[in-house]
Amino acid sequence: MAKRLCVYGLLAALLAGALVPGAVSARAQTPDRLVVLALESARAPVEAWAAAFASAIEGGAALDLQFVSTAGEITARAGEAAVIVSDAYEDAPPITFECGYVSDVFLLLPGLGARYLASNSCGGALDPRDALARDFLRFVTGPDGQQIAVDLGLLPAAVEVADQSGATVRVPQPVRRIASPYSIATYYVYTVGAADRLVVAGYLGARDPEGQTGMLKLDPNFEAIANAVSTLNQKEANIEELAALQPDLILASTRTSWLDAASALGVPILRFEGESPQALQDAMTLIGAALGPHAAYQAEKFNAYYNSTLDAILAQTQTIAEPLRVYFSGTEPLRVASGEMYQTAMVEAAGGVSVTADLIGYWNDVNLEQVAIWNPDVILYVPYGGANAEAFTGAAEWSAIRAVREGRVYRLPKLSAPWDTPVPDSILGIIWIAQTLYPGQVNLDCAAEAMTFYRQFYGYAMGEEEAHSLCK
Amino acid sequence: MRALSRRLPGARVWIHSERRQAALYLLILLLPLPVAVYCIGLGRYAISPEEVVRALLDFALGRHDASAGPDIAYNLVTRVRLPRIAAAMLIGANLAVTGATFQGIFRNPLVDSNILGVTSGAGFGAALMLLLVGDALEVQVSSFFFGLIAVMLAYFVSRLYHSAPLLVLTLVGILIGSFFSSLTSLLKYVADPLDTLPAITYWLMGGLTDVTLDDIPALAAISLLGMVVLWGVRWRLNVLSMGDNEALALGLNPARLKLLIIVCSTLMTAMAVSVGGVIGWVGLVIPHAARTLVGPDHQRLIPATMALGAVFLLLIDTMSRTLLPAEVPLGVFTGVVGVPLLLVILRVNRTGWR
Amino acid sequence: MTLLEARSVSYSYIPQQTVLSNVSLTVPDRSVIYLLGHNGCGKTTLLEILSGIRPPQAGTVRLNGHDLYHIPSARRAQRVGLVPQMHLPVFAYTVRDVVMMGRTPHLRLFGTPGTHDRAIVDAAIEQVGLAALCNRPYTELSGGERQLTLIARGLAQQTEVLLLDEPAAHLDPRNQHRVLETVSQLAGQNVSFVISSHNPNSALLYAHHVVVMKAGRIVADGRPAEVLTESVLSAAYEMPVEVIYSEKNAARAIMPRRANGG
Repeated sequence: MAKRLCVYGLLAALLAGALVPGAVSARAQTPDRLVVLALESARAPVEAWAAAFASAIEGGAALDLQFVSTAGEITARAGEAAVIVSDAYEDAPPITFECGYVSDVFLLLPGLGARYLASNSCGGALDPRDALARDFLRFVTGPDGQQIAVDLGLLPAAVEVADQSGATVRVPQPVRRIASPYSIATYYVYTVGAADRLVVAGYLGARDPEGQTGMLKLDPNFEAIANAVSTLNQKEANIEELAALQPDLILASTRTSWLDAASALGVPILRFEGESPQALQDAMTLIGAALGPHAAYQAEKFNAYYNSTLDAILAQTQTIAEPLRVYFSGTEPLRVASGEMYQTAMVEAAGGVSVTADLIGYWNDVNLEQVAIWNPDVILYVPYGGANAEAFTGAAEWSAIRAVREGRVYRLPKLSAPWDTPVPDSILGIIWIAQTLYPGQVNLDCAAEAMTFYRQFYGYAMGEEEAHSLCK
Repeated sequence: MRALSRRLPGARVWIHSERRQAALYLLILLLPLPVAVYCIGLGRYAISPEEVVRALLDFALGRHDASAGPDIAYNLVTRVRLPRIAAAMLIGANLAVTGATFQGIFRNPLVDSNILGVTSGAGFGAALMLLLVGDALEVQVSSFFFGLIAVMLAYFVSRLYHSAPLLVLTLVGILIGSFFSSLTSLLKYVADPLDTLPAITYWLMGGLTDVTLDDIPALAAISLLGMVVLWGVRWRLNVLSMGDNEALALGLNPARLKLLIIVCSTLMTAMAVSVGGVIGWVGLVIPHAARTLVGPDHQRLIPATMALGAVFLLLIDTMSRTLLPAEVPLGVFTGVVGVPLLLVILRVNRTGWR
Repeated sequence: MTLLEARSVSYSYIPQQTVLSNVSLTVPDRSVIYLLGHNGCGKTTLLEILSGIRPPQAGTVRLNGHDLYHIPSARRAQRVGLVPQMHLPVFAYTVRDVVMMGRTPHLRLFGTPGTHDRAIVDAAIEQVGLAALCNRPYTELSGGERQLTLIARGLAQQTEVLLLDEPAAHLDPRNQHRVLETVSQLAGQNVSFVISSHNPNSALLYAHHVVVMKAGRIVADGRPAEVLTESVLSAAYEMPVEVIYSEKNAARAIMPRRANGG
């Protein structure tokens, strides 16, 4: 009798032992329990975040927190988890899913990164459990998560940054409500992944139908943000309506004219001036510094991408004996970008030579005789203001200009903001120009880069067809 | 003769012998053609005189062979320089002579044809179309019609007041002009600052950069027709400028004559503005310069003003398109050249007007 | 023979203020008529009505029997001229230019003065004695010279009747004399003159016929000797006047009577 009990008990124990790991992984598969695998050193913040997240979610969310002591263990056990939090976050764990993927990095604190593993989702819609994992990381990298880190003393309660007008601005952290009257800075915010914090913003290029369609793809909610204040632009603002939105950060440009009145609101104001490749990168660094560790990380990634792209193009184009001479025209055929403008820097970064490099100021008007003297090889024109190719190809007086004769007249692409304006998307503009000028010699694929870029920085999964029609 | 000049300080310029006066007058009338010929050879792109002549002959005789490939010299001479020169001369003559006639009928040497608001109305019409549609042809047509509307408004409103008709007309004209300027400011306020607003500002600054051959026939027809009519009434302008009662006593119908001149000048000015935008100073400065040189008698003043206006604007536009790689707006030169010119005239001229 | 005639003419600028009431005046040919009266009695208005530029609100004006206001204005201006008080125009036309304007009624529709017109103009300038100044700017002449220029313009117009509105006003005695003497000499050619004046002494010296007005009505009409008496003038100017006789000039003159002699 006792012997029989022992055997059954052993069998039961063995069974239980076999089942328990199964139970663990099975538990990991059920929608309401999320396994978060984190470093022991990060216990305090992770527990606080998990608790806060759970109470923020309707119906509660059970997060199963498991702590290990080394990053190696995390890599080894990654398959069991929905979210991994580690200090070795640069390399993705070597897992492939039959139907799913490993996400990009979410930087939670300096030196502490996380990824979610979407094991049940393929192409498009996220499985609810995977979506919950993603939402957890978004929560942590958002203002609420940042506040918890601040309370724990892991992040500063305020940062001091030098904006692009040279002023030192103190920005209390976290920033929850951003007002961006500078319609270029809005795109910085999207690029660093903080768009959900915008309460009102200007959107460069999104007022015409083409731009509006494009922006709706990037953010279906953008019109509500754009219209939150009746008047808000570089020249004037309805300060009272702006105040009613209770922003805690205002993004302006060095040319915004109503900032004296706005300073009465007591809200920190960052002035941007990102109209050259270097200045654009500085602007991204600045916005990253003000919006938390994950934003800073995204900004760094963007700057690295920008520089490596420029280096790649340079490597491929510097051997060209006779760089092409490019004429960059604006809203009228005879209106051209001066040498001081961003557009000229883009042309030169793409390996071309701008015929208008000696002109100064803003847009210049020239006459056809001057164009005949320059006789450019390629004409590029902007995707706004009614500019069109017929103005060049259909006009008899342009017919003798080399670019028109050889049919090399091209329109810059735009999704929302035109790719020739100093928004982050302009890196795609540079790639596009390089590919257009030197199709054989530059092996960067505009469509592929566009898909990667918009997914990584705007969270928008652009389809191949759309990318190809943009890059035409 | 010299004794007389000494007794009249400042009257040096036109108390010369009649023969010298006549020679000066003839010189002025003959000036436009040689200046035009000289200017068509000028431009940033070097084209030799032979090529210019060949291009002009080909154009005039219709024997240009387009299938031989695009010919940059021909294109530039006939499609860029020629229309600009024609437009500059027509608009210059147009604005100058309408300024002179308005100075005559308003008996006021400080007015030009915008006193009744035609330029302000035309500017509003252009801005409106730029805001709504943006197409060049509609912009031109709209500016033309709103120029006419502004003047009609000024004329009919002033008729409601029966006292001091000239003063009332001047005041109402200024008011209507201001009204349309304000409306234009409103349009600029609502315009898209990236796009439409620069287009409006650029249009208002005035310039002949976008003039094409297609603009010339309508401009020439109205300008030349108007100039013929104004030339026809040149004698009566003398009498009109003495006062309405005197004109009546000498058998004229001042109201009808003024109406004819206003209608004619307004059509001409609206046409000029719709092609070239707002070009200031010509209507004010040139009549004074002409008066200093040939005297106030409109028999000579009218033709001289036309010639000097044509030459002035032609030289200004030529400077604008040749001095720098980028186009310098016309308004820069008309001010920079026109203001010192007017100051010099004011010093020299004590006899052109009181 | 009656050349120009006003019959029962009335006019008011403002409904409540009548400037002329029931005025009748006859201008025979080749006469010199002086129109006297105090300031504001309606002389200028009457002249404008007589010249055809201001239609009367009641009554008619007839030229050789035809209603003046039914004649086309150019034709009318060829027959009746008005010389206004001298003024300063805005533009400095030469004397010749100004006199040339008198030829306007004789020009065709878009015409300008020709050789024939220039000859007439030169003759008119000669007649008023301004030949030496014909190329000078009108604005730089003295008052008297300007008035003479306007008279020359009237002469160049070659009308049958020439109406002059206070040609001697604002002029010093020398220029007054010059102007009125010239006009007086020009009379007797085929032109009738109607001259308004606020100075009755001129009438005594130069008029064939005098009409005195007061407050928009004619109070006396006749030869100078009969009309220009102390009683008529005192009533017309509402102040006591005295008529004196100068033996040297063989003419009479009028002067105000002072309250106490001396």
